[in-house]
Amino acid sequence: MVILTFKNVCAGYGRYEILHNINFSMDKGEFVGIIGPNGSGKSTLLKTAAKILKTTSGNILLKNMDINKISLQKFAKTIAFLPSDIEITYPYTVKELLSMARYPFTGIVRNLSRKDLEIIAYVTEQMELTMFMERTIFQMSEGEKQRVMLAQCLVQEPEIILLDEPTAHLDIGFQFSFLDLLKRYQKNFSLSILAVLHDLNLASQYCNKIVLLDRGSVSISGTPENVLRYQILEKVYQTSVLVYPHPISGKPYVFGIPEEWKNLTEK
Amino acid sequence: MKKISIFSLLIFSVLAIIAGISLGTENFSPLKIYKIITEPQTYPFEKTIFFQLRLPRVWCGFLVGSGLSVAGLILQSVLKNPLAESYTIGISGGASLGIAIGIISGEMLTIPVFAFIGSIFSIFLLLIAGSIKKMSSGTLLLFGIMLNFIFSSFSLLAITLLQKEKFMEAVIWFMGNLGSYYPAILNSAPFFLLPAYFFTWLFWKELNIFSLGEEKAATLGINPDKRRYLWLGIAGLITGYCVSLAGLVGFVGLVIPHAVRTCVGADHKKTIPASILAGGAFLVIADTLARTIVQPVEIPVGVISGFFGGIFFVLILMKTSGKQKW
Repeated sequence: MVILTFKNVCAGYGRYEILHNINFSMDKGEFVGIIGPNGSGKSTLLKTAAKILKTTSGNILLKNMDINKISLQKFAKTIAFLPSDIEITYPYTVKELLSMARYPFTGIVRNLSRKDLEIIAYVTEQMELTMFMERTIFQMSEGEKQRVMLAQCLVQEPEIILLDEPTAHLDIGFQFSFLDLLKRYQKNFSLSILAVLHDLNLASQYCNKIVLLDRGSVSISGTPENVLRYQILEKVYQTSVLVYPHPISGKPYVFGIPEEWKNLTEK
Repeated sequence: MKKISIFSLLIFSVLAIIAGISLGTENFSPLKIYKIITEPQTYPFEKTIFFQLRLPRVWCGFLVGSGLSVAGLILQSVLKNPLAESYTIGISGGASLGIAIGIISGEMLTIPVFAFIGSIFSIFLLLIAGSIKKMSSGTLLLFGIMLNFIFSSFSLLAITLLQKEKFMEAVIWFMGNLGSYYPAILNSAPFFLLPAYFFTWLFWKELNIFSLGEEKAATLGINPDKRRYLWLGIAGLITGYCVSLAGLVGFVGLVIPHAVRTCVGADHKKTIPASILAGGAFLVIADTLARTIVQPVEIPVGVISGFFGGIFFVLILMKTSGKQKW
């Protein structure tokens, strides 16, 4: 079942158009990765899907409904968004941050119901955050903080989660545990995931489908095996790469090549 | 840092108010105050001082202090910037221009009325500029600071050119002073300020979410573009009322929200009532010092709040730096 569709979407800031005629669709329960060089419009694409940036033309359909016709509050019950480099300015505790994500359900006045609390408790347990509930966000490491921000999105009980470079500042341990958690939610709750990923290899290991952006247009989209081919990557990223299957998962693995070794590859 | 409850802030405010009504050129012990209230005919002289001067002045201090703190808290959350407050956002510039016009015209009531109009005018300019150019929070703040410079320079220029002999009066208003309020304004203030505080508190969840940033607010169901202007408007109205009562009392709106966050945490369910109490109590104490420190001279309360408040804030910073970002 198709859950999110981009139809001839153009968008940008002011007079600058960044996205040109984007077309792709995402099925329910799919993990879709958006990759592409710096400035290719990955974050812009995610912001249009999050209803933060208006499209200048074309439509984005959420289960066949134009997202412009859905109220912000109703939209918040279906889609959660994790911005890149989110910085929390004030010393909120983990518990407070997670409670905020129930706002689309409780509204202005209503207190958290038992159901709300159960959802929060379930997510904190899944994310191994139970012992951190009373801590403020300033007392946590970058990896723990990012896990809190993901938990906040999951407390929203979304059908689709949009992530903008969620693993950018994490070490390899936190990168994998973060994506493993997401993958578990994808499998158990058929959560649909649309993530901007900088790291091609993470995208390859975790995504069912990859959309490669090049200067604001979709260059190619499909399975990791179809997209992560050296002919395509070398053209889009302007560098030479090697692609080998990952020894365990068998998914394509992309190797960059430093200049001093480049002449060896030509042989 | 060990957390301080709202209840202890309430007790602190009550103590501050008692100190405020007891101390002055004429000191009253709590027992004496009790007697003045219960048998006023026995103490006609004390009665006049207490009911006509002391009590309204302390009440005025509490209202202004709480109003500036709540406005500062709103602005810091909505703009997601810990340096935002009524005065950095440009309201004080507009207010000072209003005060200058009031002083030059020399009519009764013109100073507070023009101070109010000036505050609203500068917020209005900010809202218009922000909506035409779709400014980010940071740009909006810079725009406010620039408005401030332009307006305050202009008002000082106007005063020095037109009414040099009234320069001292202008300085008193520019520094903030709780002794020159107009009773009509003080009497009407609670009917506006208290509902405004209640309204703000009612929306504590929205302010929490706003302070995570506009992208997060939008995806949690709040339209940041629309609501930001509503909140700027409310903060502007509250500040306008405070300025028309006491002139430009700086510092309170910036520092009290920070101090409160170290006491009760960042959750607006708690920071809003805590700011009301702490801001009110702080200004009452500052004003009591202003009245008593060098008797019989009265120092503008802004000087005291800036001096002691500044030292106090530096101490908090030293204690919490490293553990906490602002």
